[in-house]
Amino acid sequence: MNFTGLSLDQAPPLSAPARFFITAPIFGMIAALLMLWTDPLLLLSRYSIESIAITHFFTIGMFSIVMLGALQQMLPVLAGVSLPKAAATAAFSHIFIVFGTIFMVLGLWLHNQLFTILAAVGLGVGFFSILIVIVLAMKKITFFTPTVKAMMTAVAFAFVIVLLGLHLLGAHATNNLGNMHMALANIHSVWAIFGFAGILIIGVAFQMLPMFYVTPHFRKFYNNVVIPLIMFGLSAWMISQIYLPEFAITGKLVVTLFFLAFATAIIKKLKERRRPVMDVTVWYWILSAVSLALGMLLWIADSYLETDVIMIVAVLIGGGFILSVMNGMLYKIIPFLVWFHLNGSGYMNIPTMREMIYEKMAKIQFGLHLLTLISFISFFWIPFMLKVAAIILFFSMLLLEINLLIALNHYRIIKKREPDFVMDMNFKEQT
Amino acid sequence: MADIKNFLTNDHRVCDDLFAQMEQDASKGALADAKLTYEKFSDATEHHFQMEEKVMFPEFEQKTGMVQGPTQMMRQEHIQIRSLMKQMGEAIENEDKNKFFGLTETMMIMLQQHNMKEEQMLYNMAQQHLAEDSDRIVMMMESIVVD
Repeated sequence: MNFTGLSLDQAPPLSAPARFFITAPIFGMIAALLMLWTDPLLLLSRYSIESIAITHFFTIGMFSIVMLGALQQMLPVLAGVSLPKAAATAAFSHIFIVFGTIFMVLGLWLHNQLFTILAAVGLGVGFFSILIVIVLAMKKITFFTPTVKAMMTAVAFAFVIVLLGLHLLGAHATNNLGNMHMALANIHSVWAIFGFAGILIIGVAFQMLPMFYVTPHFRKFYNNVVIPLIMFGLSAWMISQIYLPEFAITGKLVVTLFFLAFATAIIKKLKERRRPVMDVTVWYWILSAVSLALGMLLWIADSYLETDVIMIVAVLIGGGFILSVMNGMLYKIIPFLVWFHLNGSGYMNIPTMREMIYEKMAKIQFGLHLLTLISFISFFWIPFMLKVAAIILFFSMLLLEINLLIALNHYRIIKKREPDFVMDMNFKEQT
Repeated sequence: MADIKNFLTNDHRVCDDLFAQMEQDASKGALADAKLTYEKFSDATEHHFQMEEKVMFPEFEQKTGMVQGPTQMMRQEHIQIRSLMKQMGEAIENEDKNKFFGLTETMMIMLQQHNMKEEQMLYNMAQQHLAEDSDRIVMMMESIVVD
């Protein structure tokens, strides 16, 4: 077996994941402001240009950006491979994705062809540059755990979603929506949510829950079977969506069944956790699991209901499931990384994780997040609630950003000091 | 035949159990109540590190010629974990619960990501390269004297 390329010393520099993590809440705030100035009725339809634009502030500006940041950080730990030129790759793709996202919203909103084309270029370059580098790194993986397989599956889905997305955006730019436009848009969104985000979260949960909370490990069944079956369900759903729409529900049921199993597993594992902690991150996991279960059930119901409830499904799955997990995990990952990088460069006197993220402020932010979800759901019946939801969302994201920046600021301040030790093998004291 | 990977992986679980026990003791009442389990955890962890540093790592390095590779990185992380353990001991002495649980939070992630790298990569590599000598190596690890 060939081990070249495998070294365990490849944590990317803090700036690489951090720039992604701190961008996400900013996009959340911009999305909230935009919603304040939008006619609520336009956002009740999933096909309005305004809905599509704002949705992508969340899905690209927040979800994809956090997931790409997390992938860079997780690949070395979970798969033993590092991204070549981590800092430069991160900076390059980040700037393209950020501008791509902004131009996409501007282009769609203002029906501006130039902006839309710039958006397609920015997003294409941004996503593919980092995805290709991730694939190059993945080629060196020698040991394949279920989490690693999940990450690879998610990245494969990401390629398809980005390609589909670029195609759809191109159609908007040229004002040439073909017969297949709606079907492709549907596949793009369902695969993005369940294939990319969903599978990545499941794969990471296999490791994160036992790691952070000392829960029992997931059974082999979950590890080995859930993701292939979800892939099967998503593929079956896509094929039937195009050729036999009346059978599309079968694929949907398979996907739903296994995401429900996952939601139940989260709750069960957390109940059996051996650590006595009940911090805000545990709340976030529970909220995430409950939202996922409700969202999946409603997604199935949507196929039978007269009214289109997909907007509530989107709030539950996007905001309730995906954003909650990310929000909670950021509260763990960022302070840990700050500690890890400082300690690794010889600093001993570093605030603990509890001193970097103030539990009270994190709990207030959790409360705002929960209120945001409730207000967005009530918007379905009370159009006025959109504005309320947008205002709460804005403050929730602002507080998240502040909490994260407080933690990162410790890094900046402590780095200015002389390190306590020169970090080499002999742990020499610096003279 | 003894298996280096299983032997060291099982020893990680022993340390994990002691860590969880220590946190539970600390969460119940005074931190002093957790002193005994803290010492058990810290002794078991130090014992584990020395089994690696005195026996397995040098064997691995000699066989593969990879001296600046993964073993070096793991030694660095041992240093980081040792410094956290020391600070946890100080927090217990000072009855500083917030400090203690802040440190255990960091320790938990540090330890787990460290274990993961070892169990999913380094131990597999070690088992592959050192399979012929694994009986001898496990025996040597079992018989080390902790400094």
